[in-house]
Amino acid sequence: MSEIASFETEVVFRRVAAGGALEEDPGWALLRDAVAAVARERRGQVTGAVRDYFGRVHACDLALTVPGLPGGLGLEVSREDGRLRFLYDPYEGADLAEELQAEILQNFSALAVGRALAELHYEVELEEGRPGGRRVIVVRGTR
Amino acid sequence: MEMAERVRVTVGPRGLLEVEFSGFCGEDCLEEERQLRARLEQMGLSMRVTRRTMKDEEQIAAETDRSGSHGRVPVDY
Repeated sequence: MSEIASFETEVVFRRVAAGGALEEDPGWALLRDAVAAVARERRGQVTGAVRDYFGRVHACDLALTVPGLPGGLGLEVSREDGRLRFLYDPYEGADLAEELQAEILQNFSALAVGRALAELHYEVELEEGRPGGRRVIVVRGTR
Repeated sequence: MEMAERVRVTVGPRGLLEVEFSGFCGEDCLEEERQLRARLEQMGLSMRVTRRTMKDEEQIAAETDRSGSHGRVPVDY
C-alpha cells in the first residue's frame, strides 16, 4: 500500500532549544542556503542586521535586504525554544516581507526534504514551477 | 523486476508539504514516512499531518502499469 499525506511545517531547531550552538545545528546551513537562494533571485544581500523606519539597527542571526525592503527581513532563532522568527518593520514593505518569508520557508523545506531523501538512499531531483502563478517546488526521490 | 520505491514531495508556499509514496509494499510507506519525518525533524523541520489518504487498489494498479513493472508481490489490504 502507498499513501498521500499533507503536512503543515514549522522551523524549530531542537539542538538550539536544548542549549546547543546555532552554528552546529544541522538546520542552520540549510537555512543560510535557503536565504541565500532568495537573495540571488531577488538581487538582494544577506547580512546580520535589520533597520527600522527610524534607522535603528537590530542585530539578528541572519538578515536579507532586497530592493523594495530597504530595512530588510531579519531571522532569529529563539535560544529558548529553537523556533525561527522573522523581524521586519511593518511600516516598510510588509507585503514583500511576507512574500520573502514564504519563499525562505519553502526553500528551507525543499532543501531539507532533498537532504533527508538523499540520506535515505534515494536519487533526488528538484524541480521548480509556477502553476497558476503559484511557486511550487517538487522534490522527487527514487530508489 | 521490482517496482521502484518513489517519494514525491510537493513543497508549497510557507513550506506546506504534500508527500506521495509509491511502490511500497504493505505498510512500508508508513515506516518510510516515519523515517523521513525523523530526519526532517533533526534538520529543524517540524511537521504536523493535516490529511492522510491511503491509496486504493485501483490507484496502485495504475502506478504499476505506468512503471511497466511485473512480478509485484500481492498484498492483502
